[in-house]
Amino acid sequence: MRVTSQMMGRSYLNNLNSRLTRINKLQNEISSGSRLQNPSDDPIATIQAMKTQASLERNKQYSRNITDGKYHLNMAESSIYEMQQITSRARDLALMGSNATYNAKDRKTMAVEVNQLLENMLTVSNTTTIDGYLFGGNQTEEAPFAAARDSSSNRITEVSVTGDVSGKILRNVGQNDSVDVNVNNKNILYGYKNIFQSLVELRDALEQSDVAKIANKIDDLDTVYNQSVNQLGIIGAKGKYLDETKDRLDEESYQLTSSLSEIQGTDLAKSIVQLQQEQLVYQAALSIGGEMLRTSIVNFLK
Amino acid sequence: MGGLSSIFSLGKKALLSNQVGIHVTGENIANAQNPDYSRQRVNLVSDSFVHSNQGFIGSGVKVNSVDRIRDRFYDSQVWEGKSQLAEWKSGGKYGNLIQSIFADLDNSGLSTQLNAFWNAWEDLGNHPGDYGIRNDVRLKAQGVVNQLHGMNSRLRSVSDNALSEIQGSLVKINDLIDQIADTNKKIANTAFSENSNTLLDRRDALIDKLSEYIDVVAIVHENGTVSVLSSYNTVVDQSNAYSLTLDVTENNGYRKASLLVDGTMPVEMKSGQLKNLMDIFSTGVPDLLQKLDTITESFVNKVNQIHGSNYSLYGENGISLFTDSGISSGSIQISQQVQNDVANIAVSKSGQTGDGAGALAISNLRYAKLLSNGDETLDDYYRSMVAKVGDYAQNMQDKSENYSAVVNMMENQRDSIKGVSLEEEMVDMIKFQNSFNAASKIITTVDELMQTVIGMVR
Repeated sequence: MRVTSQMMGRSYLNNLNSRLTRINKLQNEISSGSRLQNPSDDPIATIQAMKTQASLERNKQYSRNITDGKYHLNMAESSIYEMQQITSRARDLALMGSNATYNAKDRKTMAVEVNQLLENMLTVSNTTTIDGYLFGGNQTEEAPFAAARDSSSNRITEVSVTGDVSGKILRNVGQNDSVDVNVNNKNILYGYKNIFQSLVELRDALEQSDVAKIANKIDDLDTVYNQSVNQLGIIGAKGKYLDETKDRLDEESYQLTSSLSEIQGTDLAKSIVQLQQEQLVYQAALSIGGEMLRTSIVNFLK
Repeated sequence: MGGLSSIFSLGKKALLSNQVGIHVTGENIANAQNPDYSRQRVNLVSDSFVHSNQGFIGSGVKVNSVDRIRDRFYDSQVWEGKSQLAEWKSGGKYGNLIQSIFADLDNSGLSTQLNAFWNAWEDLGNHPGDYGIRNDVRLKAQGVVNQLHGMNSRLRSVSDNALSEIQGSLVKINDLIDQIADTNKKIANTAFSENSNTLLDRRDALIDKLSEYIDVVAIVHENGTVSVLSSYNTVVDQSNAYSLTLDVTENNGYRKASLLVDGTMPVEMKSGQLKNLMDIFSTGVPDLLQKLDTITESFVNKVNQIHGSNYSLYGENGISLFTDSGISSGSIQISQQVQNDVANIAVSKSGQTGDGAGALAISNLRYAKLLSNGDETLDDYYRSMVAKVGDYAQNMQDKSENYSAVVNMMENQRDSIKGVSLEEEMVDMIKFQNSFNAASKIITTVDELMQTVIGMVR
C-alpha cells in the first residue's frame, strides 16, 4: 500500500482521539464512583439499578409504616395494661367488700373508689393519639365509648359503644401484605362480660352492701381480666410479626444496597489500572507520533 | 531525416517535458496537505518516428497528458461510509441528548418521582387526617406533574432542535447540489483543457461534503460530468439540480416531516445525517412522547378512579385528584379542588376520618399492571422506555465509534491512490532534474558537434 503524508496524520489523530475518549470515560467512572453515568453506558444494568432503587424506596416506606404501626400497637398495649390494673384493683375491692369483716360504711367508701375506677376506665377507653381516638377503629373523631349518667348524682349508669369500632387500620408492610393494627376493644370491654356493666353493678352492690352480689362480681372481673390478657396476646403476636417483617426488610435493604453498588459502582482497582494503561499508551503514542511525523526524505536531501 | 538540428529539437522537447514534470511535481508537493487534491502524473510518450537512412528513429519525448490519479471505486466506498457514519454520529448525539431527559440514574427521573408519590400516599394512609401529610401528598403529586411537563417540553425541544438542524442541512444540501451542477457545466465546457483536473477535484470534494448529509451514488458520464443519485432519486443530472424540500405535518400533537425531491417526489433517505434527523423528528421523539402520554393517561385515570371512590375530609366523594379532561404529559394538572384545599384529597373508603384504606389502594397502584395489556406496571413500562432510549444511544455511539475507524481506513485506501507522498515526489523531482540536466547535455553536445561541422569547412 502506498502511504501518503495525509494518511499518517489522519490515522494518528484518530487513534489519539479514541484513546482520549477512553481515558475520559475512565476518569469519569473513577471520579463519580459510578460506572453508570447514562443509560447508554449499560442499558440492562440501568434497568436493574432502577428496579433496585425502587425496591429500596419501597422498603424504606414499609419500614416507616411498621414503625408507625408499632407505635399504634404500643399505645394500645399500655392502655390495656392500665385497664388491667383498674380491673385488678376493682377485683381487690370486690374481694374486700365480700368479706364480712367490713361494714356498710367501709363498703360505701369502696363504692366511691370503684366509681372512680369506672371513670378511669372510661378515660382509658377513650385514649387519644395524634390521629384521634385510639380505640375507635377508623372513626377517630368521635369518642368510641359514651357514658349515660344519672342526672342527679352525675354518676355513670351505662356505657355504650358508639358506631362501629371494628374498622380496620391498615399498615402496608409489603406487596399484598398489610397488617390491621386496630385493637378492637369491644372485645375486651364488651366481650363475654361487659366491664363497664360489671363495674357499675359492683359499685351499686357495694353501696347497698349486698355481699352476695359483690362476691358474684369477682368472677365477672376475672373473666374481663382474662379477656384483656387475650387481647394483649393478639397485640403481641401482631407486634412480633411487624418486628420480624422489619428485620426481613432491613436484611433485604442491605442486600439491595450491596447489589446496587455492585451494579453501578466502579470497580476502582480495575478502573485505575486500566486508566494507567491507557495513559501509558497515550504517552507512548504522543512521543512516537512526534518522531515519526517529523521524519521525511526531505531531511536527508542536500 | 535525422540531421543534427533534429537532435536539437529532440533535446529541446526533452528539456520542456522534464520541466513540465518538475512543474507537476511542484504542484503535487504544494497540494500535499490539501485533502481534496488528487495527485497528478505527467504522462510522457515517445514522439513520432522520423524516417532516416537507417530506418525509423524516434524524435524524442512529449507530454501526452497530465493525468489525475483517482479510483472511482474508493470514492463510492468513502461516500457510502461517510453517509453511514454521519447518520450514526447524529444518532449518538441525539441519543445522548434524549437519554439525559431520563435522569433516573441521578435519582431525578420520573420513576423517582412516582416512588415518592406512592410513598406519600402510604404515609397519608397511616395518618389520614394529618394536614401536613396531605400537603406532602399534593407536593409529591405536583412533583410528578412537573416531571411529566419537564420531560414533555424537553422532548419537544429536542424535536425543535432536530427540525432546525434539518432545515439547516437542507440549505447546505441544496447549495451543494447547485454547486455540483454548476461545476458539471464547467467541466463539460473544458473537458479537455488543463483546468479540468482542478474542476474535477472541486466537484468530488463537493460530493464528499454532500455524502455526509445524504447517501450518494455518482454516475460518471463520458464527458467527465456526473449524475448524483440519492436514495434512488436523481438530485443532480449533469448541469441540472433538483433540490430537496421539507413538508411538516402535525397529527394529534405529534409532528411528522417528509422530504420531497424537486417539490414533488417523496423520498425516504437511506443514510446520512439527514436520515437520522428525520428519524428523530418523525418517529423517535413522537414515539417517546406517545409513550409518555400513555403513562400519563393510565396514571391519571387509575388514580382518579380510586380517588373518586374515596371520601374526602368533608365526606364527599367523586373528587378527582388530577384534571380529568385532555390528559397528556404536557397538560396534566392537579385538579382545582385539591389545589384549593388539601382536605379534598380523598383517602377514606368508609367515610370515616381515620380510614386510610383508600390511600393504600392508591399506593398499591404501583403494583398494578396497568399497561401493555396488563403485562407491565407504570414503572415497568417506563423502565422499558429508559432501556430503549439507552439501547439506542449505546448502539449509535458504539456504531459510530467503531465505524469511524472503518471510514478512516476507507479514506486511507483512497488516499493511498490519490494522495501525495512527499517521498515519492522528492524522488520524482530528482529524476526529472537529472533528466533535465541530461537533456541540456544533449543540447551542448549537439552544439559542439555543429561547431565541429562549421570548423570543418574553414
